[in-house]
Amino acid sequence: MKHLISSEFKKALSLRFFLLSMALIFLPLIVVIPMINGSYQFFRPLEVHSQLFSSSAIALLFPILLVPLFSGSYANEKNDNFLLYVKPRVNLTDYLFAKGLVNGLVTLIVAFLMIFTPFMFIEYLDPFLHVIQYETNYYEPVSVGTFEFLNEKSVFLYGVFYSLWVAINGALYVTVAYLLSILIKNRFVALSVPFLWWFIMNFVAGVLGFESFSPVYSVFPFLITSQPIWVVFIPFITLIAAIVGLLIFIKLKKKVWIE
Amino acid sequence: MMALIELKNVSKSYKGLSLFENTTVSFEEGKIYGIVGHNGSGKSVLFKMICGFVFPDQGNVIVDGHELGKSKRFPENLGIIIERPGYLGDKTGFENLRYLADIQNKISDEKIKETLDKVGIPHTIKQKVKNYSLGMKQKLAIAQAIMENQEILLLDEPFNGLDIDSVENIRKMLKDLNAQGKTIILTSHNNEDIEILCEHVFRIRNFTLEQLK
Repeated sequence: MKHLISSEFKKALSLRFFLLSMALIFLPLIVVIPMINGSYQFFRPLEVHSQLFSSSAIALLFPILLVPLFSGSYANEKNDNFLLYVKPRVNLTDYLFAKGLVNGLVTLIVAFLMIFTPFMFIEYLDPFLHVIQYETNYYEPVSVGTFEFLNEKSVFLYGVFYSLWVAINGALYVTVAYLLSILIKNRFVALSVPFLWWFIMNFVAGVLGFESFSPVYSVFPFLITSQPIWVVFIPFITLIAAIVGLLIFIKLKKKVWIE
Repeated sequence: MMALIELKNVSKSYKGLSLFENTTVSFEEGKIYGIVGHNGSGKSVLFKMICGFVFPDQGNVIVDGHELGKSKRFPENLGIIIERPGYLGDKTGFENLRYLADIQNKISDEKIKETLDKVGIPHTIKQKVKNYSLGMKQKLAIAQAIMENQEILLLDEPFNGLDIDSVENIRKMLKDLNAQGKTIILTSHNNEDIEILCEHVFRIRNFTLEQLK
């Protein structure tokens, strides 16, 4: 298993992965901060951080931004017949587990850095650089939503836990894409489903008046009033249930082993 | 001599077509076998059954004493080419072999380079496999089948797309591997390959394997 995981990491850490990761981690800082800087009234750094994600395409496109990092790997191996030559060498369950694990881990790391790097810049570096303009005439800070309670304990704690929350959600969405790529022949459809789910559920929750339970406000809870923490866990648990359901379905259908 | 691979009373339909009916055949260790038959006669399905990729509808497939699907899912130490080469297009030939070798971690980089050179792909080339010619992809497929010193080689049309010199080279290489005790079962649409290489030849006809040589 150790060899399999190390081999999957080697496959994942390509130039393409590096460039995509760098874009996800640094584009919000390089592109979005100049756009929002001066266009909004900010009283404290956390508001800039929340605005960075609620104003950009990141919240809207969240799952589809992360999926290209690695979850196409299995679909490519199947299409290019590479998997056929893996089969005689290893138990496929172990191989797919290693691939799924690495898929989830690399996404977790990139998604964490995508949130945490701007946080560190805004909270700790900008006070020396003075890039971001803050309102100084009066002070009426705006809540950053459900996770505000962490900030009340420690700003750094907020940064770490909120980044981790987004990262875990990101890893779960790409895991859904990965499992669907095992089940569905058309890789474009398989890899698009998590985004469609994100998009449709946000719409449906909005229409039914349950915005607080929508996937987007579970991961980026900035534009709604602060909710009890259990609220964000409803879409999260639904996601975990979807993964468990997919795993059971793959096991029952023996998809990989028969093909 | 003991049979290394045995098919006992095997019947198999594949995608709605009946291919084998009550077929019994055995392949002995250390020999080269040729399988011939018209397109769609079931050569690839035969290989898939020996690999454990598909199971017979009836009967048993036994490889090296293990009945596939019962005491073992896939046979060990098997080098295969089935249907078409498989590769990661955006990686080099060396990287492709390294990824496959990493799964069992049995061989070094040097052994991979040596295998690439042996099949006629200079290990120094940095070209990605998606830019390889058909013949080079075929050589890469042969390389992955032999690089880990596999004892049984199942090679479905191993000479596809190869130029005359490469055919000569691969024929010689297969003879050398056989001289080292490897068991080789191959198919080829070219009778010359079969005549030159194979001690025993089977033809798939009337839903069974008939021995021609």
